[in-house]
Amino acid sequence: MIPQHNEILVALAGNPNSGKTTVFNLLTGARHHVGNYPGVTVEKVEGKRNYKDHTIRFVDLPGTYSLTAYSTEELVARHFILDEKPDVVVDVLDASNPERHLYLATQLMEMRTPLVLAFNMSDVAKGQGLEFDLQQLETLLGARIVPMVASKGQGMNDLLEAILETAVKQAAVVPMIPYGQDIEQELGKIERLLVEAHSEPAARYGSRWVALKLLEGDAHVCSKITSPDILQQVDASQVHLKKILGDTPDVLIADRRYGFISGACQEAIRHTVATRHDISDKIDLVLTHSKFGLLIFGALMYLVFYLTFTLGEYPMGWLESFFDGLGNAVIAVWPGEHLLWLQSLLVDGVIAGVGGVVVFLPNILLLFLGIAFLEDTGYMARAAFIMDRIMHRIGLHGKSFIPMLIGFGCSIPAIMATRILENRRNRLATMLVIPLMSCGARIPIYALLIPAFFPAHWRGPVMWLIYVIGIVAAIVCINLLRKTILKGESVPFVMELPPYRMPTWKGLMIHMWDRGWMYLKKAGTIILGLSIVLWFLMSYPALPDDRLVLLAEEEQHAASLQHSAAGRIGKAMEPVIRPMGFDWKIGTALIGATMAKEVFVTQLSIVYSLGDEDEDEETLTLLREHLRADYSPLQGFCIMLFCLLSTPCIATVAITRKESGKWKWALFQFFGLTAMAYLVTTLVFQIGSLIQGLM
Amino acid sequence: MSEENKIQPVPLLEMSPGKTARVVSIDAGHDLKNRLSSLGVLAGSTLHVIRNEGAGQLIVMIKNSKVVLGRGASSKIFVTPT
Repeated sequence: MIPQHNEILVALAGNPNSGKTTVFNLLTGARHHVGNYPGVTVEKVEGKRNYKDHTIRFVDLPGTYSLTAYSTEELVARHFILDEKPDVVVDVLDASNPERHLYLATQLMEMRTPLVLAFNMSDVAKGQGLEFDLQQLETLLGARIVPMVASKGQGMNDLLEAILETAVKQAAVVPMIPYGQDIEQELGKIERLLVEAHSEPAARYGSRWVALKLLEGDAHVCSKITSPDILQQVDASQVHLKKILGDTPDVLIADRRYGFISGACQEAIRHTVATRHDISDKIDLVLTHSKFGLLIFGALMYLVFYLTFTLGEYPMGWLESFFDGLGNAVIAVWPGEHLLWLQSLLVDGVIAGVGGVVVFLPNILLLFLGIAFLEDTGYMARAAFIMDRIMHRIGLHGKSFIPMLIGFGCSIPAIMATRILENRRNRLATMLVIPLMSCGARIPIYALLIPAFFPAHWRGPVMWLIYVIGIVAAIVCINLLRKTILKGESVPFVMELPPYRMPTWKGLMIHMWDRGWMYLKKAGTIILGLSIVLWFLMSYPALPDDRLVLLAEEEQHAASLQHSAAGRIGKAMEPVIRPMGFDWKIGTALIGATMAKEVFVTQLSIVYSLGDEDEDEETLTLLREHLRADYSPLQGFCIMLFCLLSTPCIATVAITRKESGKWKWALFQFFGLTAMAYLVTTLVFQIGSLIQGLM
Repeated sequence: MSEENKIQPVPLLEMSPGKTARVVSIDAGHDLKNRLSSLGVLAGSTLHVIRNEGAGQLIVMIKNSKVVLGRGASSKIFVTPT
């Protein structure tokens, strides 16, 4: 019994593509909270709603087909139901495909949890000629059934009413799923032993359920049972069943569940029309075609990137001017010449650092709007199918293609986009190599260096070469990672192609805003901290005033930077970076480049006492002349190579930390890439110098 | 039925598009079997091959929805054409 005014905990379960998230959004509106389940990177979305004197707390479980110990998502969903004991579990089903979607429901029935079935998309089911005898189906399944069309907001009140009723009334009689005499007999034996041994899991989760899982060979439940007697009985039962029924118990049990569903459907569902899937099939004929499909995919991706980086430019410009204005405003209102260090910390450290992060927000929002649209329509699964043939050859899953492509724009949204990969090892490997896809912030570096060192007809090919080197390095690294630290059996590939669907605006907006907010919140805090650290490195120790006054204004900047920790580190690094053909000036600029790649250009112009107006074409021309005087084309190429391969910017480090869940991976990415860049650049410079010497 | 008339099961991989087949056995480990059965692919179920182009994954229709199967998984599912 739930007393009045008490909070009701409701878990939302359902297959992927059942419209579960739409139901969740409908129930909770925009008032929801995104977190993580403890210890894993599975997202946990929660929301609250008041209904008739009750507060209902909804938890959106990960979408799963089943509740075995097969994947982290399934384990997380199962544990939430078993351990948090929600008052009601709502299983969201696609009513147009009950036979498939009821499979999860049978497993929820096995867990004896109070259950409500939301028959979502009942309009589609009706259109396909499905007629439900709801009353009979409710009796057969032992749960309230609520027909819904969540995308149109229909059926919500009925669902809330059913939830309340189920939570308040005493535990209903949930029918047992009959597994047949042979299996029941073995289940009985195991159950008896569990009860006799006062087994802790059996007391908590019910002896029948534990016995069932043991018989299925569920790795997680088996590991909880220590009694050798029980394990011996499980073994014997498994062997016995295999012998008399010809298959392993897990498959036999699954078969019985389908049998139960198919029996229930035959009794309570009538098909009045036979044709179905016509339009979806025709679309798929084109979209999954090995040639047309690829073309359409290319065009759609181009459109998404075009919108992201072209439309995003306008608000990006506004944000940039806003932060510039803010910095200038602080300088303008600063009272006199006091505390100038604080002014610099605020303007050059905090405002510039945070501004540098926030300016990417429009890009992130637009990109995730595009991705949400492709996912919600069901297209993303087709894209993965088409790309898989190509990506398979380089040891990756079809879906990895999308984050890697985004990486050409910016690593940060790319790393966030790795969420579309289900396999954690694949996801980590992709995440770690994404900085190798040459991002937009590196373009200013190439734009400075390529014209400085290469004649006009070589510029295109050099630029192309840099990009290709990045791609090749990414492929090599991914293969190395998958063969070493991220080794793991490549799971044979199985995925559902969801039916095509029109996404809802609300769903798209919520998806987009969640990503944007997460980016601002998490990356913002870490980046703010690191920006301040970098500011200190580049400002302190400060040059004494008596030496500063002797210099011209441009020289002041250069001298201060040389005197600062960054400048000193740059100088101290010189012996280390010399094998790559770099001197302290490049070293100092590289330290600045960890803030954001394009800062490299600004830093170099400061080192050369040209002021920090990197936008100025005249300054750039002058800088190129200086560079040409100091370095050879080979050195110029090596600088680009190092910038391409080495340390990602701090925003990337922060987002890798956030998305992988561990500092370990962020640091591994940071140092791993830098070490590789060092090795490769040194090799190129040394071999290049040798060849030059011979010529 | 005599021995000669009995159709030998073949891997799903060898089925051409447009064909319908019945699953006879799945020669795979615990995890893959589990995953497949949660999607409705288990001995006794009928599936319809939509795409199989000699390279890349297969698309099959099973229990009213389309499922993509890798070539590895498809080589472990044995079927008889119906």
